[in-house]
Amino acid sequence: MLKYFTEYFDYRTLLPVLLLLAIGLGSVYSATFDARVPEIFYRQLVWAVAGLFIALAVAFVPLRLLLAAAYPAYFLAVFLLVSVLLIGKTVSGSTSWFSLGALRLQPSEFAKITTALALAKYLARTEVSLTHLKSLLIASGIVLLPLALIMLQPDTGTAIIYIGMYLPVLYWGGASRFTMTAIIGPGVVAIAALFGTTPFLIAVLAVGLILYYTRENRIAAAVVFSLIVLIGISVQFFYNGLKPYQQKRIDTFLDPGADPLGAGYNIVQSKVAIGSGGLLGKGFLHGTQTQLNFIPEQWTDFIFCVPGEEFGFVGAITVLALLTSVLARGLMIAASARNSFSSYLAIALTSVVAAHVFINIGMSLGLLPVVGVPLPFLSYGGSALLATMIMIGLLMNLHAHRKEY
Amino acid sequence: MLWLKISLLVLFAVVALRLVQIQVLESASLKERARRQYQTRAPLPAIRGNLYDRNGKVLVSNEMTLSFAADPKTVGDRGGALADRFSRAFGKPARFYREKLSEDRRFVYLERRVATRYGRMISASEREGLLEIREARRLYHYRRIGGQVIGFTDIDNRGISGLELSLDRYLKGADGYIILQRDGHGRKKPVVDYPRVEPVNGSSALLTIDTEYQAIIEEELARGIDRTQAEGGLAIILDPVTGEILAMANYPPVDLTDIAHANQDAMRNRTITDMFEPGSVFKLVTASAALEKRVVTPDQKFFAENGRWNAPLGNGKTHPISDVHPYGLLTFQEAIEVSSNIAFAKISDRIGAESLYKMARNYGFGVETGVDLPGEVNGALKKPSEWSGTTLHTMSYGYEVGVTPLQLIAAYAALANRGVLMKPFIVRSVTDENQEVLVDARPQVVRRVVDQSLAETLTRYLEGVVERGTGKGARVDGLRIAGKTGTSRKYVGGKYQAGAYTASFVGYFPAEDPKVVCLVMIDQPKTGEYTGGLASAPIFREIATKIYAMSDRFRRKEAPVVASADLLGVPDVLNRSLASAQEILSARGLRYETRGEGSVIASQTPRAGFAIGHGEKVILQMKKQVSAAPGYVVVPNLRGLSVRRAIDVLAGNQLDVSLSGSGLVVSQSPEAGGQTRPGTRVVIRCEPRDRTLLSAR
Repeated sequence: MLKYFTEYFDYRTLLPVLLLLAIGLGSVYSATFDARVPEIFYRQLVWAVAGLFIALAVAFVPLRLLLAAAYPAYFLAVFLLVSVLLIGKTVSGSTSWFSLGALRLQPSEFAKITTALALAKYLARTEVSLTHLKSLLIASGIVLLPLALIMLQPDTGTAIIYIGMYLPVLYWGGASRFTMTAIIGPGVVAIAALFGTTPFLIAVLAVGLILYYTRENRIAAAVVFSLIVLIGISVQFFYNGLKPYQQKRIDTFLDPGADPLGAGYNIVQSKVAIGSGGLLGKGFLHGTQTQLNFIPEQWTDFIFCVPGEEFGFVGAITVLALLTSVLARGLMIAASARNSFSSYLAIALTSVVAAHVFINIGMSLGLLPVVGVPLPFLSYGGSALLATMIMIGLLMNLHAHRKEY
Repeated sequence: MLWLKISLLVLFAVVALRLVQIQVLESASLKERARRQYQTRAPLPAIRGNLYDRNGKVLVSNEMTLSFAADPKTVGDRGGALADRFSRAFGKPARFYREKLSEDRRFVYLERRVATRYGRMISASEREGLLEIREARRLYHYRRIGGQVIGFTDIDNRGISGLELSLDRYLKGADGYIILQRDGHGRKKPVVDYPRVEPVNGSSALLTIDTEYQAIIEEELARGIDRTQAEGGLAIILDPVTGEILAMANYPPVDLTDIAHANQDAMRNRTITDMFEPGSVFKLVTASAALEKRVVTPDQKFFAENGRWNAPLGNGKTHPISDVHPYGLLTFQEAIEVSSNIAFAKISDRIGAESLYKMARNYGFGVETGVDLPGEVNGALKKPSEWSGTTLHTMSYGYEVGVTPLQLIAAYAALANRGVLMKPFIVRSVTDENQEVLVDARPQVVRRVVDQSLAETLTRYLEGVVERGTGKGARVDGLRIAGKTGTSRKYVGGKYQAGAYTASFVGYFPAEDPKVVCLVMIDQPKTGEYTGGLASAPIFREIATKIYAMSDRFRRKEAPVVASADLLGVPDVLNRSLASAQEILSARGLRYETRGEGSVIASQTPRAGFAIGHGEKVILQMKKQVSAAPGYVVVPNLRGLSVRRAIDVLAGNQLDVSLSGSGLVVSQSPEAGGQTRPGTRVVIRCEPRDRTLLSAR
């Protein structure tokens, strides 16, 4: 029995997850303590317990069932994403919710999982190779279809998550360095272009050198390089053509401190809250910035401020370490899986969680612009928590079935 | 896999380093930034000190008012309804409030300083986003009197004129503060565990003014000006023995409650800010100089040239001098009684420029009196070297010299005081809220101007003025009055205006033992009665009659400082022992009642400085004396105390002191209320009183 437990039950994934859930509940409690919205904590408690059971249930679903359900689930999710655009509820400018009575559902959260399943299943097929353009296009299509639908909602944060999932999978699937550079390059150069001419030139130079050393066909390399430069230049033209308020939005995106009372308010407040926590923090329920509601929506996207302020550096680094240990565990599962579907799926799921973690914390620390991405296990929100727990359940499942072919 | 692991490690490292950066390296500055964000100070306004008259009657105290402010953002949609509500209550158009409520600010005043009863009009549901601020406002117990002397305060309760200005540093006190916590929505709430610094209420001043005299001169002045259809006028009553200003009035009066409509011209206290050519009242100087130099004898006669004299100037030219009525031969006394300019011009020739100038100087002309009121001017007294050929003559009857009314009355007071000039003053004492006396004014002798015998002789002559001469209009049966009239042509815009006169009468009584000096000056009487004798002397008579009839002053009985309790302000007995509170209260004739247990007064109703009705009791809420643990003492609160007092208090508590600065204590360490070992050095920082009050703002 014990042997069975250690062999099949992935307690090494579950333990840090349980700790994170507990920290998350404490943080939500603290964040809503003075805001007088106690129902938020109780709802989150219900979601956490439900999520735990669902994770355990998912962990024991037979692998072939997952494989069989991958495509139907993918298309169901796509169908839901289309429907939500047509009949969904608009909350703060973004149409991403289904309202089923008291229950609100966010299909984009679950589409992440189905996309990961479909992508893993497609790449696991023996005839598929990412060195072939056709396979590459189909794999990209699998990701781009839901991504495009989510961009229409619009929900930039979730859309970025798809890219965060896709790139590691591509790498894991054996895409050539040239392919990787061709995909990542335009993004890097475009962002560099926003920062100014010098960063733009440096980025172009770097991408050019990398392309040169990939030893790819000269003509293909030249075409890709020209496209990248063109994109970079057009970004600067595009920026100059914008109205001042639109330019300002991008400026704040790049430098939140420039407008501390307006668009950069959240980032500045979050930085002040976490920084003022110091080494050991101000104590549970004693964070001044948290308790006095300086950070808007702090129980959702800015939840990291709560442990950061109330438990200081020690609390923040603990949360970060626990999250990273879950991610490292995910990579280990991917490496130890003996069938490629499991392996791809583990990478995809781990990447999704990793993208959430680093985008969210990076934003809270003022390293990244504000994009609405929740922090896994900690942020308030039923759909996101359930989706995360399903992903954890899947990882545990893959661990249990790691020896299956 | 390696690259994925490296990526994960790099991401972890970046975040961890960022955490080190902001939570360890930049933590101090971010902590400070957080503190600035959530802590804010709210002032606890000090109550401005009261003004009492010489008998302890409250002239000026304070009343609570309500100010309504709003946070337009929080009020939001309810702005319309709220605007309607305010519009109905205050009678301004609803649009007025709607505009304020749509301003893009977090704080707008809707109404300032309205009666506290308006607080009831706002229901609890409407209170969200609406701020009610209680502010004290000056309350004038005698609304229409002494306005120019008391002076105005501005909307922030700072003195801007009169005594409110000159005593501002005493009256204003020092505001205290509480620390408020501010939340992300801009709402504020007090925090219990931060120190609360209590305000030091302003000190109160006891004036030399007698409210009843003041009321009498204001009324008689107004009546006299009405009778003579004059432009304005002023009157002063002085105690000649002490120099105390008993009453000081300017007409037209000002309404201190309505600064917006106050006439700038009428706001001036012209008894000290304006100078006049005095005319014949200045003959006091000439007569004194003549008697002192013995250039006249009682039976010596002067030819008054039948009313018109072309006085020789020595260079072959002449200048005309005229009298109102033609006279022939006059004795010196008769010349004073009928006020002959010609006779006085002739006498001045015998006195000489130097002696006349010296006498004028000795009486205090040409130099400010040094009265404790703001805005006093010197007047204009030219040195003999600057005199023209006619100056000696014209000055002998009061032209080519500028005097303030206060200088003039002070000079007559010197005569009444048997030749000794006293410095006029109006603030008798200033007492802080701990009953510590900050200012205790004593009568100040300036100098002896003339001998006692000369003063008595001249007084006898001045009695003749009222008895038989130009001042007959001032006569009161059964009261010996010495006085002098003066009528001077007004010098406006470089020339003497036809038909424009300043009519004065100044006198004192009883002549055998003068108790009061009174000056009445009327500006441009319009009727035929434009002379001092006809326009001003009757006003003096009415004033003298009333004062003499009602006042204890003439029965040789000093009025007690505290006479009646029905208008008294309540003294501050906070934190005192019951025994000492009892002493203070009973000294003011106040009764009290204690509530709760303990030996120290925790709070009092009414608060210090507020009036208490006749027969009402002061309610004292008691608390237990905080006792220190064995071997420890409680650190006393020293803030606002004088250095000397702070050192006394510390010594009494077995504490040592380390002192910096001088004046009033502005900070102390350890803080008050804490416990410490006896002998601990308490560091106190002091600042001079003025700066203390300024820096506390």
